[in-house]
Amino acid sequence: MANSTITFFPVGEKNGGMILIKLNDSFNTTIMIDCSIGDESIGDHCDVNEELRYRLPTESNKRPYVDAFILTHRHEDHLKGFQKHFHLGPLADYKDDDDELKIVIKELWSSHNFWKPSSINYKLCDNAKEFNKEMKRRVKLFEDKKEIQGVGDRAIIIGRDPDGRTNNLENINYNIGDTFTKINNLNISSKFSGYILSPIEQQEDEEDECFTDMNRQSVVFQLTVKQGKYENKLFMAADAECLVWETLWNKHKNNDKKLEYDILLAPHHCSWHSLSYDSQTNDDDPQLCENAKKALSQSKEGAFIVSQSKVIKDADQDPPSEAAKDEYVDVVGEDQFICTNEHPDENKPEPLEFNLTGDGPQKKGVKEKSKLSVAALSSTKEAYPHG
Amino acid sequence: MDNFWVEKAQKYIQDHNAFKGVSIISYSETPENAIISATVSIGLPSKFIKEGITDIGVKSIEEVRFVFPDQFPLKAPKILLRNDFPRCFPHINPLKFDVNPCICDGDLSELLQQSEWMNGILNQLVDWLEKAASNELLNYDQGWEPMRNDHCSGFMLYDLNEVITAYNSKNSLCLTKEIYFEERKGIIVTDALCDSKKKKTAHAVYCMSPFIIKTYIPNSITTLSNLYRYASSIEISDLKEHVEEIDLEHLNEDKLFVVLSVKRPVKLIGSDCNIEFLNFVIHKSKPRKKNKKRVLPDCKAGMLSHIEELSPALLKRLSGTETKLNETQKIALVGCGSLGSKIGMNLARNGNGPFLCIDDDIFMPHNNARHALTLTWAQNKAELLSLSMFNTSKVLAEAVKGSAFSADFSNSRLIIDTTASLAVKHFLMDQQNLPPIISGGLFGQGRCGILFIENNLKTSRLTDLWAYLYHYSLEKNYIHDVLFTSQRNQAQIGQSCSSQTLIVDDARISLMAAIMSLKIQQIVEKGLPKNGEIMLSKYDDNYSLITEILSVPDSVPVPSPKKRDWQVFLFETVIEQMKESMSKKSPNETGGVLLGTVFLHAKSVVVTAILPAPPDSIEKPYLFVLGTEGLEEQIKSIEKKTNGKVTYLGTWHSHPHGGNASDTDDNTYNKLLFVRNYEPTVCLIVTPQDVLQV
Repeated sequence: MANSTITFFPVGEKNGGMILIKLNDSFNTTIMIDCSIGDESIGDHCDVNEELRYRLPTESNKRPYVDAFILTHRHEDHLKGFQKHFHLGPLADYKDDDDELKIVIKELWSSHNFWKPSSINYKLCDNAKEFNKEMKRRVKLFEDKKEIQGVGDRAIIIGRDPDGRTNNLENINYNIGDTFTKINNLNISSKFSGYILSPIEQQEDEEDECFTDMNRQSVVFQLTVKQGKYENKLFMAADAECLVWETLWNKHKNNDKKLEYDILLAPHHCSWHSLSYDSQTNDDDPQLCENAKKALSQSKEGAFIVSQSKVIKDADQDPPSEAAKDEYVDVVGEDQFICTNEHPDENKPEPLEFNLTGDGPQKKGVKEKSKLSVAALSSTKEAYPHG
Repeated sequence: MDNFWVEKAQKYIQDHNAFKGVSIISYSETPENAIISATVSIGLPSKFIKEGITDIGVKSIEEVRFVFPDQFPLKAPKILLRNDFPRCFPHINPLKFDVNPCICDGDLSELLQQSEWMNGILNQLVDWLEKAASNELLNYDQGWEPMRNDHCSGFMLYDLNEVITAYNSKNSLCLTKEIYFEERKGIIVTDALCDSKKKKTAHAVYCMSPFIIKTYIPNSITTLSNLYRYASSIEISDLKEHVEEIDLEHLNEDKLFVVLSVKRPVKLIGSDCNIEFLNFVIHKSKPRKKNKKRVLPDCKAGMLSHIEELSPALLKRLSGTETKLNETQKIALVGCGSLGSKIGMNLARNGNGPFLCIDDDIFMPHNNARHALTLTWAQNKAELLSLSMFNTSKVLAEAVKGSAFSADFSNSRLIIDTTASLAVKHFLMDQQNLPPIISGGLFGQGRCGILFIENNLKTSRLTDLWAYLYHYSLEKNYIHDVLFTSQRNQAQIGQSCSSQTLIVDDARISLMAAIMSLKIQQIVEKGLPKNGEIMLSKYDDNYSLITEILSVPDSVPVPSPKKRDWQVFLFETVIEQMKESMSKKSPNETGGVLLGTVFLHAKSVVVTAILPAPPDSIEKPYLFVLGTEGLEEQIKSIEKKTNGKVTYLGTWHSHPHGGNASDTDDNTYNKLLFVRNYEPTVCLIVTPQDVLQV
């Protein structure tokens, strides 16, 4: 049987997040975490939309779908192309005659922050507003009908709302520290489980402004994909920063299994701020937060760390930060640290895909494209004058 | 050797992200090959990354050699891995010194012709090695990969299901059977594959593994002792005993055949069965004493490919149809001419049957222009077709050399009439208690194919279908053209393809036959439609076939208080129209003219439509007088357009308050009958409850 896979897509000039997990359970469950689909090919080479759609399953009526779309947080770089590529609203309004069919989201996952309106201090991008609207539509259906909704209308809320709006929504609400085994309302515990690590509660001394920051509210989880006797641990760290990691280390240091991983998504596009409270540029001697690093160092044998970011090359840029990369390389080694936009080559980035095998993740080779079609596409990039 | 291509291939290998250390091109003379070696990086599962080698023995860096044949790039390069590459995979050749993996499902040379060119092969090699590293080469989703057999010693013909049934019925894991074989230029063939004059007798031993064998053990069997060892590795430990026993009983035989039946965890690729059959021929050693031949462990053994015996099941599988096998009721083919033979062979090739072929005609030279059969001679067509059908599918096809009139249809489930004979058509229309009928023919010099399909309850009969089509031709010019234009003065409808005057090529008939066969196949699989149907296919002379299917409303017999010679049928849609008209005019009576078709032989009248009452008609409570204004012109026009097939049948009027025929009604009927010279005449009364005849 073909193994389950996880795919990290290369991202644009402003970083981004988009991950696809395809399980080999009997439902062939497909989970998407965030989306970052721009109109331009990455590095003039990789058409992310095409690469995504090539991997998505389709219904018999040809509609592409994901069983679950999980949004980690509301920044534009994690929602780019959401409105354009996903169907929003009831399925009855689906347009089957569109040139490019919209992707159906069977089940939509979000932190409770979808209720929070846009404001001067909490500015939401258009895609985030549309995401929230869709989430509200689905949650309202549940509230009105008092039952878990069907495909295309179902929502799952992560975390308890501090204003109590998740009260009476227990059937569609997971709290921090919960383990879930249902995707698309189907229990697939023999193949998959997820443990919700964050957004953790407001810490003592933590200012409101810091606590409500979108990155701080990132949904962080550890996913387990079983193959035979092996449990592939995928640590989806989203854009959470140093405080979250230090807190999680203090919380779980006696049970580090909750933080262990075969593949870690380097938090916040390999940002220095995930490993330090200090600024790389403003502080003279920025200090590493050892506890944060420990939280992110629970690697298993042969583990990988993936930086879903633009190419890491400028000492001044952050994210991605070279200094942060050095810390991760220290954990897993040079060969096991992979930047999406450098894979396999920074000049022609391709989706980074792993088989989740019975002996741990296996990085898949990159298929070379037809040289003629590459040539054909490159010919279209500029105007050629003719006399 | 064209260096241009090999150098281009070398560039592709150098440019591929997984390949490093690409060598210069070296050449060998015999055979004339170009060789390029390189290393390929393979992602290992994380557990093995540190060691750089998996538990099975796949390394993170593998050496690979590409051996380019002289015909490259028409032929793909051969891919060779290191000699100690693990051989416990299904896609590896077991015998040769070099490990040559079978990296793709199809032909590598064909893969090379795709637009990816060498990248297709390089990508596939990386993928294959990755799968080897994660032990994923045996993909249970696809099924069990059968043992690779690079050195085929011949072909063994038998029915797998028969062998499995024999194991079960004898409740034994070992069977023996006498078979025939022939050695043809070093290749062994068995049973029906043999030339009957050259075949010799031998025995075959069939042994089944008692358990499911999940491991793939490389096939390196060249001698009987290898075979014994292989058999015990798949838990068949008593092969030696069985082989020696059968050998002793048949010392004079030159060969002995062994079939190992290995239970696998999933179905084999491309099969419905999870038992893998491995076939071997044992070339018995030379006699030590006169007239004694011994099976000794050092005898040579060769592997044979299995050839599935021809059967309806094989044909069903290959055609991808859902043909129901083992039916007992026959499909009767009335007419074995060009159209009938093509439809019949189409159905036989899908595994259908049994058949009853009926034709009283002899195959003549001109039939070669369009008939499905070849190598024929002046013999009855039904006999020829049934023989061909049996040869093609091994399904019983019985021939009736006479006419359909005297044939026995009692054991038939369906009649397919392709005779285009009016006499046969009338016979089929007239007969009660026949199975449902499908009747097809070509019209308009082969431009149009029409298939009439009775429904499952036979409430839509051939008469109804024809009547419906005649009426439909009033609206559709092209139907009118193919049915009437060319034959205005002929009684015959439809053209017999055996007619020497019909000029149409085989391809056009095949086109129509194919579309009809598709429809008939669907019917034999899924059953007859709920309503009768007419399938109209029109060839547009522009390489397209345009097909429409008309669903024909049910017709009901109209009861008559008096005994009448003619049975009257009425489409339900016409009853609805009459009732609507009645309620609109109530409490006045109303009425009009009945249109439809008369079927003389079947003594049936089918009412297909009504004409509204002419404007000079009188409509009062308890009185309706049918006027005449414009009626004659209307009827003339309809008669002309349909060559008289749609005609004035009589009248209808309403009794909105119910009640049977009045004296006036009876008198009118008799008058009309007299005026019409006692031709079939119908007068109908419609009441809110029912429709009846005067």
